[in-house]
Amino acid sequence: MSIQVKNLFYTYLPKSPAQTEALKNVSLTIEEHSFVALLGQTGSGKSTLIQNLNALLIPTKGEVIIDDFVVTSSKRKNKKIKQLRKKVGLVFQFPEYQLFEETVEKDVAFGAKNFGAKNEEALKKAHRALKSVGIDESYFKRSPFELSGGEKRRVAIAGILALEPDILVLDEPTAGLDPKGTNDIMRLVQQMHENGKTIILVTHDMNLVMKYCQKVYVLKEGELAFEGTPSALFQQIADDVSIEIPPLYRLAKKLSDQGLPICFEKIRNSEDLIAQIQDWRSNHE
Amino acid sequence: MNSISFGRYTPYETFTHKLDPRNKLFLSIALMVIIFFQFKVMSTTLLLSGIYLILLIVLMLVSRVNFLELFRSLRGMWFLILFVFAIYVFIPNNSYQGTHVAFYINTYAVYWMAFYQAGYIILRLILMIALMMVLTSTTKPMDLTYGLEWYMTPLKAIHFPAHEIAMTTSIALRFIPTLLDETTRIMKAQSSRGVDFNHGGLFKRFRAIISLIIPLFVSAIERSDELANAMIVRGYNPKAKRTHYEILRFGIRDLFAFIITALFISGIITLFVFDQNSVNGIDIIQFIFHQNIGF
Repeated sequence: MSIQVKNLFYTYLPKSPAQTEALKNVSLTIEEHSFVALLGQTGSGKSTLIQNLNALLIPTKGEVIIDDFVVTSSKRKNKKIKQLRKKVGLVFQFPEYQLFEETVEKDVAFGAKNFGAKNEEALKKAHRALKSVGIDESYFKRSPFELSGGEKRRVAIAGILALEPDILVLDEPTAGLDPKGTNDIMRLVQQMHENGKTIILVTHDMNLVMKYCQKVYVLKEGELAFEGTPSALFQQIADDVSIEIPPLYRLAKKLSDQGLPICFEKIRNSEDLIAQIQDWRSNHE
Repeated sequence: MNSISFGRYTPYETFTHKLDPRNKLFLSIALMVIIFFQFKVMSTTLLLSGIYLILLIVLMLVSRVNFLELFRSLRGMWFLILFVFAIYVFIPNNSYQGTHVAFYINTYAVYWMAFYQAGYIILRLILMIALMMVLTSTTKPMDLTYGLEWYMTPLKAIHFPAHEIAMTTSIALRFIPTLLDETTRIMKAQSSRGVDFNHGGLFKRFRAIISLIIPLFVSAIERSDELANAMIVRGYNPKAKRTHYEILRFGIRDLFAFIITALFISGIITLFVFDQNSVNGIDIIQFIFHQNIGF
């Protein structure tokens, strides 16, 4: 279930005064079961790209290949689009705004039902999804509108998880959440990844990128400006693409400048750095 | 989604764009009124409508209004057009008696007059839509509101809330694009959950629309709440005297447009008054060519 994007162009409102080229010749391959980040400033084309991944937007030129699904500009009436959307679960930014059902479980089951699951089966899937996002059974019959912001978001994410997608695309899932909420969501995403899903994360939080992602893709003005590991990004071109280097990485860099041998690739969180420092110390004592 | 963009403001700098919105509002309304003048003689009405249409096309060209949009809006009205024709053709009308018969359905006579009347209604509709398109695509919604507010200002004397109405209207207009964006966003989010807005039976479509409407209302209400709070925090007082960022000015250009339009309108009105006062109405074609073409 790898994702291949080949020479993708996308133009909004073509042939009008407001025409904008959002994506220009983007080519990339995302491997199966990987956890990747999609970075870039506002307006760099991230959202356009992820919407091309599940055919919400159809390429102006080029193609998106996911498994045996091929989405190109010519096959406008692609009948497999619905199945593709089941394979690629897209969680939009502020997904809590898409809640509408009377109860939490009904809302989560809504998507599963749309993709053909029978009532009971859909509810079963919904319960499973809700449990996996840490929503307690006592919430199932409550109205989604009574929940707190973080809870709403988890319910909304469960709404996508209930589709049981193989690829999960998340557009800033932690935007506007407090540190605890952020952690909860990210741990959940990490768990999804461990369960074998491919994760594509759109974010501005470099700490998350450093902590979780194996590979990053950076878009700049609609073009792919960088692809590689997070540490390579921080080392090479962070400034060119206006990305803020996370504090932990800066600290590691300062230590390295002072002569401490540091393996940047291995640093994901503070524990990793501490371990490296301790290693170094034990070698020197 | 395209139908929603109908008559949307286009950021060009044409003659019409630069006119004072108050002027444009007044002239549009005046021009709209004369669309409804129907003369006693059919050929006169048709001739004047034709002239009107040509002038309107010139105006659309000058204002760089998108003709495609006009046709698209007509395509959306096919049912209405069909309906009007059906009503006019199939409902018996005694006044058609004695005029040319187009064809018979069994013994029921269908008159050319019926087609003429229906066609004339559609023509008037097209003229009106085109005129509105010129107005809205050359004037920012905000400017239109300011123009309206200016006209309503004298009513303040009788405690008519002119400013409040203008403010509410401008907020409503301001949020149309926002809500449209929101609509597309929610539609996309629900499409990701497998909702199909374009296919399926009535019940399925209804469910699909529900999944769009409820989140849209929720967010609109939340938004209005936030906006009200933001306005209170900044000390908004509807009774306060306020200034405008952009002051509306009636310039030479406006005078020119006003005079041209006024000449045209007064010409039509004069003809109309004569027409109504004469016994048989004015037949321009006969007057010019000395020939009766038999309408």
